[in-house]
Amino acid sequence: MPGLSVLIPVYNRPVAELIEALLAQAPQWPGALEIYLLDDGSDETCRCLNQPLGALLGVRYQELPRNVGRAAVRNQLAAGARHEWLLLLDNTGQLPDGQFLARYAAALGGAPVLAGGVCYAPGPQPTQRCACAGATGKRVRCARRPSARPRLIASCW
Amino acid sequence: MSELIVELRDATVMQETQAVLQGVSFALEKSDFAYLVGRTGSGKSSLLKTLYADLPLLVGTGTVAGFALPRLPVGKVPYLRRRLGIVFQDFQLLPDRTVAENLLFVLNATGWRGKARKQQRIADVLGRVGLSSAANRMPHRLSGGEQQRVVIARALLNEPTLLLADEPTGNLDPEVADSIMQLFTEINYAGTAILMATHNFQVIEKYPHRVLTCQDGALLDSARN
Repeated sequence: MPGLSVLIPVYNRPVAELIEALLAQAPQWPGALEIYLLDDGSDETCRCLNQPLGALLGVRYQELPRNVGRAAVRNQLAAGARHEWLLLLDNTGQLPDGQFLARYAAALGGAPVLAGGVCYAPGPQPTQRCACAGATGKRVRCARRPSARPRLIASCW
Repeated sequence: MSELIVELRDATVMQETQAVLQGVSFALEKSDFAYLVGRTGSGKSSLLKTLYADLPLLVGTGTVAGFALPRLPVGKVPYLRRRLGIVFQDFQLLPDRTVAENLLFVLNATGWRGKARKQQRIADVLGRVGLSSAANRMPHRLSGGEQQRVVIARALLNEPTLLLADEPTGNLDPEVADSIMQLFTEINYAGTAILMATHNFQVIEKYPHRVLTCQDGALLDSARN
């Protein structure tokens, strides 16, 4: 069965919630699956929030020494991906429902490239940035920003 | 006959495109506790990664917790990983969540349903590591040893048959390391096999168990010498 690399560029966003949801859906994919996070020079405060995700089985977390921009990060993610199928998400998104990976699994083989689209949450949500207390150890607060739900593009290499 | 939790036969352990260990054959039973030693770069971590299917087993055969490794990439990896617990050297708790929320994160990520069930499970594992009162504390309010206990509690959430530990006492004072080893001993007595990579020979001397040594591209087994 084909493997799937879920590739997520990370820049100054906490992504634990997105990773939690993706891992919960991992069994929906019929092959091997990795989640590959590449931090694009985020503030230390935000890196502290995301680094522990690398200790979860199935999640790979790496950091770039400086910001290079999302397109370059996507290329690096694709180059380093371990699997045949690549699912490109953004760090601002959330999964729309519990069948997100199942839909891609069902569409496998239908085309070399699948575009899943983006749905936007109705109504305003609190604005946010990564306003974190950081490594000093205070409780970190991260609000959510009016979030584009994930860009769902999977392409076959 | 005892239940085999891990069995590798003539396995080659890869690191990137290079074979770091060849002809690896060993088995762990349900009640086993074994150390994995060897210099940095000798293949310890790669062997552990092979066992939790982060690295593919391309040569040889193996089973882990009832799953056949060479055939694994067939949707079974998440299920295999739910039968394993893993503890790393760094404590790796999410800093913006309480102890209980850190454990809840893993339960959600591994498909648990039902609020009451999840709460009960969190209380159970915190009790096992002696931290029942810490559920609502933030990780930075805990000592290093306490944080490592929370990580061990997290590793126990899905009742693993095998606990893999990579230098779990590496960042701890000797006294604290000692208490962590006592905890591992209790977990092992309760029926979980443990494979622990370590450089800490004081720990090995004080808590003697079988030793697997990565050396010169091969795995030496103290049980066979």
